Amino acid sequence: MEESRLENFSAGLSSIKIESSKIKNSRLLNLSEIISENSPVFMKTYGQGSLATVSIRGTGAAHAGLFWNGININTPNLGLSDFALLPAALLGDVEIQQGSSAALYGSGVIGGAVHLISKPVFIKASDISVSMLGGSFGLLDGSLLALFSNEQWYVRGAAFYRSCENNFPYINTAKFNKPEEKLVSADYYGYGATAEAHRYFRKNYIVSFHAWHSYMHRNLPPAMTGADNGEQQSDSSFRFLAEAKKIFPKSSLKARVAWLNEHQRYENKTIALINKPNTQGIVSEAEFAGELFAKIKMNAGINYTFYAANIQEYLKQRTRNQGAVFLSLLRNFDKLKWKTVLNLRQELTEGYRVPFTPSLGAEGNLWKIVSARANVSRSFRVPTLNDIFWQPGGNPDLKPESGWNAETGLFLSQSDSAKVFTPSASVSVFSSWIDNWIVWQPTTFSYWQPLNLQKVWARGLEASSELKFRKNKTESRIQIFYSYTLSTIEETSALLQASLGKQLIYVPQHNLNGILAFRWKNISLTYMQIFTGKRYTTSDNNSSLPSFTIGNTVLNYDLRLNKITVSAGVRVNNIWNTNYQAIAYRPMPGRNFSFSIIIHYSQPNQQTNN
Amino acid sequence: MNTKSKQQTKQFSLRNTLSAAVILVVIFISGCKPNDNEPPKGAYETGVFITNEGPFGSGTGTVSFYNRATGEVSNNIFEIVNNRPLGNVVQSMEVHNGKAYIVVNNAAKVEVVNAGDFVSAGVIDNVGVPRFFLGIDDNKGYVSDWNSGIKVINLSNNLVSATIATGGTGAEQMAKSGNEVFVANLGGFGLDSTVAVINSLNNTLVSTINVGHRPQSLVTDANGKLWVLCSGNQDWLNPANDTPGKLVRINTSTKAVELTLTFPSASDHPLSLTTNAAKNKLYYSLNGAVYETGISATSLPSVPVINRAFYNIGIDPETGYLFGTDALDFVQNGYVLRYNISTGSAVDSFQVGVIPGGFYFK
Repeated sequence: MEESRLENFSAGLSSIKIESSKIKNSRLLNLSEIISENSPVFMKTYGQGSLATVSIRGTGAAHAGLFWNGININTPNLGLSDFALLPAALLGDVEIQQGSSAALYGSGVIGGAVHLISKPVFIKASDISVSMLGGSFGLLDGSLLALFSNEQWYVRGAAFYRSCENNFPYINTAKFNKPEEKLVSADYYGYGATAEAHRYFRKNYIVSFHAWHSYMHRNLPPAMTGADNGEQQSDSSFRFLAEAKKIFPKSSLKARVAWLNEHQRYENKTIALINKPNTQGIVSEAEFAGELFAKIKMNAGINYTFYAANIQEYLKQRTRNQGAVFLSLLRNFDKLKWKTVLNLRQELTEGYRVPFTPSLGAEGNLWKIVSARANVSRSFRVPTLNDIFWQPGGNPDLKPESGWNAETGLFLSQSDSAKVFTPSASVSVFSSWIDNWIVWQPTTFSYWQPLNLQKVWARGLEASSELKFRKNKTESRIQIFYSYTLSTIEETSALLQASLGKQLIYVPQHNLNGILAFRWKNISLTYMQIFTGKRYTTSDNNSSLPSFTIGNTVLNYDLRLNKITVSAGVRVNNIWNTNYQAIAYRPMPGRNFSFSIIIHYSQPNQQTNN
Repeated sequence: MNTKSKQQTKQFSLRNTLSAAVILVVIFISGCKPNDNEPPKGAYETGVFITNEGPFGSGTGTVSFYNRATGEVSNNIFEIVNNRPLGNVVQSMEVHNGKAYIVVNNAAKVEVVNAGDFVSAGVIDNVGVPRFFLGIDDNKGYVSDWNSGIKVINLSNNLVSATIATGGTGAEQMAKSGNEVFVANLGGFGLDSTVAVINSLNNTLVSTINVGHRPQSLVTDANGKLWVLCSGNQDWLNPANDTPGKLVRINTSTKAVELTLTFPSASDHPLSLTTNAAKNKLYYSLNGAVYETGISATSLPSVPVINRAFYNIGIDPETGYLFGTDALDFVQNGYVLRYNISTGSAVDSFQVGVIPGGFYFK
């Protein structure tokens, strides 16, 4: 019996799965770039290698959960994650789940969630690959992946090192005569490793262990309008997760504990400022899944999470205790090919009255290949530790944000992959209300303070379609994603009436992505195009950044020598040399290149790609 | 970013190419005037300039111009005239010898324009963390810099010719009295409590005067005295270190502190000292209100003249109105409100750029 809440006890939500096989030849990318290329989700990025945060369904970075094997790894001080710190080499499968799943995962999962998943398969196999990569602007990257498995063991490890000068030329439109300049102080380097081991014992016990360490040091370049302040930042993450599971014939019992540590060092030489925020988290969870009645499956569990933050501006170490009880009920209507899921969750956070969080979802077949889904859910977000404790401004009187999310959609899918043509498509509409939205506001005492200021209504439409063609040695795929998002301020303070009804800043209304992939024998060519619509940069929508379109392309050749495959790849980013900014006055690189060689040994022979 | 009208055109053209095409056709029909955006010469001869800091981090600051005669407001005038943004965090502006000197803090520069038409006339680089400009004579200007003190600028070539250490840290506002320049050593991101006296003839530090913690603004009055407003220490990490603000009067000849008025509470941190045209009244902001005091007063007023918080205040010497800025949420266009000080009531208001923080009355 499968146990993942995401997979089994969720219905009616839309998600985009990016399997590890899709990104295995793209080790250059980080999670932010993977999401940009493979989904309509907008990544707010300050530049190549720089801070990148996610915006799902018109919400902010703190309204999306980032889960590592089911553990929320958003930092407790900010409630968000920098997706530029997660390189492809360390990732397994990525699943972007749009829509609130707070009833499954708790606080902060309002716009959606990004899940990083690694799944053990207990069959005899070994797989080793080494990649070397070089590219424009002094990019160097090397990574190593190794996997060994049999009927009892699944052991996987990955490591990477990367450095980049990142001194690309750009037109500085903010300067007199618009000179071409080279970006300064944008170099970065980082390394990291992950390891996981899963042991399958007789009598159906599985014990798993995951470890993650990554480090990234970045110099932070000035905006076009600013001067170099000698800013630099380094981020170090340690994550460990241990899990034990017992599988019974019709049920399973699971316990897990994770330890998370994030350490950052930020320095601004101009103002002689050094900050060293350090946070730790312990997440423990126990879950029981089983059959309640003949047709109803249940999953019930408890969670206890402890956070501690050592941040100078908090005056002293601050901690948070939170717990949750949750229950999911799944009813399958086999004949109708429908399933319905009810999720209930009550989170308890020290010092807060957290709303009871239910969700109800259903999905199933309508007619032939047409299926439908719908979901209604409650969501909430407890103030972050910064919101409460930061001095000056930290506000202990904040209420949790709370919201409702409703969505429905249709999807077409053909499960028969043996056919020459495999089409699939989906369309969803959603509407979310988020009340008590927390915004930091200036006070009359010349500092900023977070307030439950706004009510935000985010609604929109998402559509995607995919067509696969497969015949003999030819394989091609066309994939299109589109999203339309209106995310407007419906209530705010009397002073800010100019923002009423206006789109949130840096939330594009339109996003359109396309992927065209073609394979003939050993050669594959992939083209990705990303259109990002206009983004407002002020809350009264008086200023905006223009839309932009960029195209990336990857050409790959596989040389097969028995159990070894040598893949040589060329990647051209921003092939049309678009001059664009994702964030105002943050330059982005023009056309740039990278070359990669991946030597891949596998046993048994797993030569199929994509 | 751009001018509002330009911005709207841009927005339309981005929405879809069809409407862009329509706009293009309209432009062609109406006859292309390439210099449509350029104002007639001398458009900014008399009026009030408002410096808008611009969005923090990645934005650009702007300058707005308020025409007293017509009540018209022109926003983003630098970019309209010069077709490029000013840069990140526009801190202050000063007019000297027909040139306006716009201090762009985070871009570490001072933009120089002709004060009458705002056409770019150069840029002063290498000024550290610049805060304010003060014209000394035809060939010389001072820029206060949190990093190094005072940057001496050769106004004929806009180059830094010397640096004067101010005997303290975080050089902020400056005031000239005879051949001497008084500099508030605010402390920058740290703490200081001195005013530096600089001999502007030979660019040397004469002495420093102890005032109170964080001298933030200073003005000279009708009697030639110097008033220094000290904000007091605000230690967020240890509130026990907080000290109250002080209003200090200095004799500019003897350099002696003649009067110190200490605010009652350690949480009183006044800001934005300014004066009226006659220089016999002083104004400052404190705890969300504006207070007025005469230059012969020996105690601090307890009742405000305007009960409202402003991001910064200034007094228009022409009309006598108090100009106060409201930066709202700091990520949208702010407002300037005009107040009749004698009645304490608002006259009118107008929209300017993002985070309006400074004035120059011309």
